[in-house]
Amino acid sequence: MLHIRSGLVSTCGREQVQGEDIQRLRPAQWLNDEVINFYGAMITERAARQGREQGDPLDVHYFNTFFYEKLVNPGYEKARLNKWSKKVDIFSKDVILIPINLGNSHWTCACINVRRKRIEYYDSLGTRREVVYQRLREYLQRESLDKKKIDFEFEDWEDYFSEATPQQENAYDCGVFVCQFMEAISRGEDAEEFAFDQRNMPYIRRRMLWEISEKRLIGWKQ
Amino acid sequence: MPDVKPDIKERKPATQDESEVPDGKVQITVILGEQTFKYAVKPTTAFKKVFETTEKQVAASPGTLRFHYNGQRLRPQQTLEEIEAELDEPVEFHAQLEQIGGA
Repeated sequence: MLHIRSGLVSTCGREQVQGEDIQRLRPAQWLNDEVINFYGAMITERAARQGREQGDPLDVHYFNTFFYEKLVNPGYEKARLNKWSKKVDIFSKDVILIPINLGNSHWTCACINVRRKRIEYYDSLGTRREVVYQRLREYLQRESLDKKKIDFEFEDWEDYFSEATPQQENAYDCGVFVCQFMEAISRGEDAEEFAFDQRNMPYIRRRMLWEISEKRLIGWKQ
Repeated sequence: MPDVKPDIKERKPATQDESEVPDGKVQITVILGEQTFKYAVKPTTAFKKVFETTEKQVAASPGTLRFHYNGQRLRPQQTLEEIEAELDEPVEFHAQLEQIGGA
């Protein structure tokens, strides 16, 4: 096990993690927003660095763990979510990653897959939540009206939920699953292709500790 | 013995109305759930004080609130100038408590 010092450990864009945050990558600890947002920043940065050749990571946009919370309450307008994408055309992205915190006890992951015209939802505890699809469709509609002044074209768009999504077999690994879902999605994988499951979690926690400390994603295919 | 008067100079209130924002300063509204806090700061002043005062007001431990502007995380040493805040409309910072999850 790596030695974890206290204080600032790593910086990626505007995101930072302290020793107290990455301590949570030790076995059986719950993850917090800082670890997940840092991992999201690393995924975004890798995507921005790479080209657009076959096999390269997709063009990714990442909304932090507070986005969905704001979308639910106080909602798009009052939270001024239109400002979140002021400098980016989300409709031109391949995938938009949206980690979701549920009741301060569970992490899940949504994705607006622009490339495949799907609203995706991944839950390592296997619960499909219709409300997530509704909220994100509402977001797309409002964002389209705000930025393009036209209705969002929902034709051919599907709600995606896969039985193949890897599942956790305990009450603490969901945050690690969410980070791995995001990382795999950003490389264009479908749930059927996700190359990890519960057995890999102790190793992935150690690997994430290393990745965050070194600010470098290893990824399964590299 | 000289008469030592206690320092009764009134402290400037932490919250103030828009009308009272002094010249050269910008009003920032910090929103935390249902609560709002207003500050007048110079475009070149670091946010540290704003963050610390907000944390005190809500009895949060120092450094535990997360502050965002337009979805971008803010750091204590940053300034309005540095983040290129749009000053032609109200400047709103959103403060959040830590989120955790496992099961």
